[in-house]
Amino acid sequence: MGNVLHCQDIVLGWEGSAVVSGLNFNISEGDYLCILGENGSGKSTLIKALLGLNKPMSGMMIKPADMKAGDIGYLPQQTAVQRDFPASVREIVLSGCLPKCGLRPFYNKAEKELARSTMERLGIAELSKRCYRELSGGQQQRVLIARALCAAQKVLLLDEPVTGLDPKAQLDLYDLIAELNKSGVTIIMVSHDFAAAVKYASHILHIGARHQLFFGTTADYLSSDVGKLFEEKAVSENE
Amino acid sequence: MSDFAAKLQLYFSYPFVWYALIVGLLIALCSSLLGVTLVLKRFSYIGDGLSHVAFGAMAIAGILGLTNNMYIVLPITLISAVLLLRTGQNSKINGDAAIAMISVGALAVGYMLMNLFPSSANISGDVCTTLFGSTSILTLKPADVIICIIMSVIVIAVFLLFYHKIFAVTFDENFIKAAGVKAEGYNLLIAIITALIIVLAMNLVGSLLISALIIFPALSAMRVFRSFKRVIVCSAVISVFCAGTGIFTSIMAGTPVGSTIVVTDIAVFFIFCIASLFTRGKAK
Amino acid sequence: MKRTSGFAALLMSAAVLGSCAQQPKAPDSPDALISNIMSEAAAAQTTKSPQTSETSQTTQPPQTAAASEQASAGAGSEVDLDLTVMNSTMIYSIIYDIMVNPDNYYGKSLMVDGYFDTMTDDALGTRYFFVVVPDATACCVQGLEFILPGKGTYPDDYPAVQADIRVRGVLDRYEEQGQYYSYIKADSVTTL
Repeated sequence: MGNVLHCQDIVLGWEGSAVVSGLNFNISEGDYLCILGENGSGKSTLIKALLGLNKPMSGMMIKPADMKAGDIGYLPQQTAVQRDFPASVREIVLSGCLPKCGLRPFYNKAEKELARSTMERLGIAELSKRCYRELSGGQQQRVLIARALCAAQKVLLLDEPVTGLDPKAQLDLYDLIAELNKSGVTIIMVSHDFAAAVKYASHILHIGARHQLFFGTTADYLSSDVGKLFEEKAVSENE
Repeated sequence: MSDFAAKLQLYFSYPFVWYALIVGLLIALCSSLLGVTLVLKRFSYIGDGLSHVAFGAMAIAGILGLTNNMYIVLPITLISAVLLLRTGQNSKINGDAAIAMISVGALAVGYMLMNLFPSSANISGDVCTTLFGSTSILTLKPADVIICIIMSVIVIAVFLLFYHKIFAVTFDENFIKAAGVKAEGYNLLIAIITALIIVLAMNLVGSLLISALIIFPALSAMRVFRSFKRVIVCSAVISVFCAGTGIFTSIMAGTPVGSTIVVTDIAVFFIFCIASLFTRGKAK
Repeated sequence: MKRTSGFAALLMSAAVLGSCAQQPKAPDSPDALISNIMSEAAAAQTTKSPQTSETSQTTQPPQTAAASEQASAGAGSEVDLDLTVMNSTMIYSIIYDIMVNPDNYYGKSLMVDGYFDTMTDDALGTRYFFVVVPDATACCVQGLEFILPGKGTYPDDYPAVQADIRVRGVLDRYEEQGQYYSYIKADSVTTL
């Protein structure tokens, strides 16, 4: 299994002040890593760092030599702009191929084919001409995952992908992500959904206030103190 | 009716009427292309702010007595476009307030300067022309027309060449940045083209009405169409149609050019609103 | 409001004329005493298109003949350019065009409605008479100078200032201090 990312004693900051420190974790090809943490624990700063948009203040972040910025397909949280955006599904999925274009003004055949096959893979081929804003939340997320897959086939970084979806759609989406993972896509998912994380993920990275609480396999996490504590909290919240 | 035709023929025997029509249609086309992006990116306010800056710059150009005030107005507006964009992105400063500050400030300073250093005695006339573009479109010289054609061609070419990038940056900047595309560069490009269009459009509708020219066709098109490409095409068609109708009406009926065009745009917007109710009702 | 500003503008034009008198050969002094009150236009006149008699003859667009033919045919009146049947947007634009491209209009007969105004150039001691035309938004005004047949005496032979008048005549030009100024050689000035 090839290495995707190795982080050693990373300190992440925003505008000069440290937000989260002591991050030590490792992502290998084919992993399903779930990053758990409360709001304000520095998850979004970590996402920026993973995407290469924000350099760590200290520590080592080792990526394979052949990995460039943009090799991680990103599923951002929905913005207000997108909710009423007049665009067809195909237009949006195709825009995932944009980094491949460079300065070329138009998409070539290979890119159009990639967009088409990705839509098929995610079961949204028949929506291709539909307007994005008229789709259900679950369908919209599929469109955005298809776009992310057009940009990068190997690694997906998903930021709270099930937020705002109804339970059925959440389940469908988790199944889809698990399926992608089985087909060889490395998944990094930021979430605060404890139950789903321990159900689907192979590895867990748990960030507390300002520092790392746990990193390891899901099985180890469930037997750790942090995991138990969080599990109790999650259960009590559900009740 | 033949009287009407004769009048039309008479008016179109004047070259400046042709200039007005050519320049008007080109500006309408350019502004509508960018309008969709500006509306969707919540950048409508940049257009508004820039037009006020351009007004202030016009006042300075007037004081300096430049033969062609483009030389002052264009650079100042371009720089402001870049600055406004930066402010809009900077989380430290309240973007909204900063833009309001710059735009209203430029308006006040411009008007003040015009009063303190009148280059002609008719201050109310100057202000009126620059704010509402009363007849300046009908007083273009061939050189103005050529500048306008060149700038429009640049704007249209840039838009076509970067169409997919502009779409991607408009739809989801975060994703595009994560994918390794320099989104800031394209935002800058959008701001620069916007500034170009605003400087051009000041001739047509005056600085207060530019925003209307930019946003109304986009809003109308977005009511009815559901893909980005169709919205852009429809918005361009609406804008050119309204500008054409507006110019004809104002020439034939003697109404002020700028406000006639904008009123036509508003009318089309309401028609599209009603049309959208109808089509959506049908779909459900 | 508009008339006040128009009058102020006329005074301003007087100042411009005064400066002309001092620098008769300045290349950027106004060529025509069609006082344009709109600043842009004034700038155009004073700085953009210094027209001397040499240059003025070379820029004759082909549209001129057609324009005048259609003007008389379309308006159905006996003058080449009947501004009284046009709407304010066109009148304003045409007067601007007359000012910027006077060569296209010299020798054409025209008829125009506006209000009367007058001013004196203190340096030369000459009095000038104008028919002033506002634009569609009524915020910009332009004046065309006219000269009565036999010149007349002011104020006996002239209408009251601000009175609505109709001027009929032929567009012509005269030379003053080395500059050409356009004016209407009036056949008649009637109070409306």
